[in-house]
Amino acid sequence: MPILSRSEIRERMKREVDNPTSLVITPLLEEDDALDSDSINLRLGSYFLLPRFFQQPFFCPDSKSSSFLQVSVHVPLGDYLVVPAHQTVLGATLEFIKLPRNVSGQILTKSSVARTFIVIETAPWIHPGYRGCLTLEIANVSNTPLLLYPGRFMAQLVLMDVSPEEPAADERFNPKYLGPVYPEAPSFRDPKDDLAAIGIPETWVIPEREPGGQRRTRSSPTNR
Amino acid sequence: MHSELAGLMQDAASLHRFVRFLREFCEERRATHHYLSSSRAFFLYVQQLAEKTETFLQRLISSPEPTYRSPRAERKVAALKRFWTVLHWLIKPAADAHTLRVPVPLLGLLERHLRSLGGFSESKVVTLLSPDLNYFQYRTGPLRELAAQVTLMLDAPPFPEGLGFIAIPYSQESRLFTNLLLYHELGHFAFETEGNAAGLLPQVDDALTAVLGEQFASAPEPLRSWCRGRLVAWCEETYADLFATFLIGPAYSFASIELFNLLALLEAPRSLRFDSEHTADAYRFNEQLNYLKNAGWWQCLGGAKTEHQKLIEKLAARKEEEYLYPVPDIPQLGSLLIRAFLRVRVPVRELVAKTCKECAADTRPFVAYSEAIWRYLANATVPSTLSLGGEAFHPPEVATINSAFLFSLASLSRLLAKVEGYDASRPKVSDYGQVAGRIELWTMKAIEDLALLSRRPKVG
Repeated sequence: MPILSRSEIRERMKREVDNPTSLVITPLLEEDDALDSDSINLRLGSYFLLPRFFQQPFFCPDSKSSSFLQVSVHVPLGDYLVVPAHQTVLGATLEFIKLPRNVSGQILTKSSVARTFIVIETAPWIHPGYRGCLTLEIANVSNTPLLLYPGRFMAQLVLMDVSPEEPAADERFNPKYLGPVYPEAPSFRDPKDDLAAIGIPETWVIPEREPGGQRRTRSSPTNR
Repeated sequence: MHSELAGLMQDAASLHRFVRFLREFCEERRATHHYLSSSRAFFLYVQQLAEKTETFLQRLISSPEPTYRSPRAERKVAALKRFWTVLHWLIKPAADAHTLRVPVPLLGLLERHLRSLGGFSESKVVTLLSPDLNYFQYRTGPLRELAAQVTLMLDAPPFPEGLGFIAIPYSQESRLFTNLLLYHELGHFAFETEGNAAGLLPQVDDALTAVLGEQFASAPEPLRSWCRGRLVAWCEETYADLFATFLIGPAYSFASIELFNLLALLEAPRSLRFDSEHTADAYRFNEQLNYLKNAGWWQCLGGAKTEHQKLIEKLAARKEEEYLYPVPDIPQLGSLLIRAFLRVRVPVRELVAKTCKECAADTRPFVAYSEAIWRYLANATVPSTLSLGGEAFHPPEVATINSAFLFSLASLSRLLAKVEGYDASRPKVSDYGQVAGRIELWTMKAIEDLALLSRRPKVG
């Protein structure tokens, strides 16, 4: 799985968008700084999702709850955000990426950023054909509050050829995260549907909802 | 305490609490949210004025008896109350319009457009988030008069120069396309700032005299003034529409159709009717289409017409004789006023052309890039860097907006067909809405990118 070099990246960026092997990175500010010999440096965008003070004892990953988990914050270019020690925040790259259909990507924390004990990715793999600004799961694992500012180089994107290439089929976009330009709340299937798909007919994962929308955790299901 | 002083103290304390609440409200919002520079300037003004007001009230209470009992002091307090009542109305919708609740890239473009017009280089517009399902411009003339009085009275900072207010319906906060109607409100702001109402009065009087003849000359002054008022209001609406069409092109007309459709305004009798402040929608689209054809835009939009284009042409084709303006108790006056108004169209067009000619939306980038922008959108990709023939191009914002809007109206199904799970034989409104929303999001991102790309320091 060879890694794409700077010249190969440039060459693919010149291809027209209809070409399945084309690469788009926009806006590519200061191209010479952004392109390393084997990777692309990506900047931090202006929108964030911060953890919300959660009223329930735990978060259940179902189709209705995900938007309750976080609160949106906009930090314009020129301003900053402080991530407290041992806290997490979702951000996104400033750059929108369209990956070629025969190229996978891996996003890594830039080494200078990593040395301040900021980690930007826990789900670093990007599938061929992905479109969107890349979501960054930023964690400050240090003991010191750290300042982030939009526009700063935060991440390194390494691109790799997928070989042999999957047979060409009509390109289809996954509607789950269709070309996000801001960090988006996670999207989950209901556990019941998820488990039903593998033949588990009964589940006790989703806590019952009370009429007011409040959740009641069923600790000892009577029908078990 | 002397009973009169006690009464005054109660009055002053009530105003003091009111003003302090507004000051702290602004401080709290500024500390917890981000705002555009125009809103920040407004909040700063409110805070500074609040401090001066609080000091003034304390000084008034502490002054010897004849001072606080004087009619002059009462007038001052009354003026302060009036002004703070107006500010109270403005502060909440301005505070609601923080940067997560407004289309920031579009507002940036709007302000750049405004500042590029002659005479508006220092202008700024504060965005309000309104509960009304309509866009409007808050007239600053009366506000400025009161502000000038208060500034003098309190030795306070002047009301920020060139500051205007335009409102977005809160339901449209994240939309790009319908918010292009803000350009119309910007047109109202320009009309007011340029003092065009007074400038058009001679032509308005000439038109009324020509159409109404002796009837107008011999009418009592209140009726004459009322007739003038109608024509000036309709001139202003025409100006605002043409201003928007000049700056943003056909996308403005499409946005108008979107909103009017939502408000169910486009049925025949209603679309032909003028009211005391607004021209008929059929007339409005006639004017816009006339300009778009003359500027070459309409011809550039491509062969297969979208439903929006067909509707614009249909409305624009209604005959002028069909326009209605019912005036109770005076039969025929409405149609005569419309006839008089139609004579003033040309000077209004000239005024808009004079203001906007340097910044009129250019068809050439649209022609050059629209096909590529469509291909980018059909590939679910933000169209801010276009690769054409091996070279990278950054299309201008107006061309991008018009191309994307047209794509959304004409070719959204091209994109929809590529979404996993979409079944063309069983179309779902929610899928259509989701993809339409994505196109607006990508276009907004493109405007943001293009602003950044144009800001880069040039090499050499």
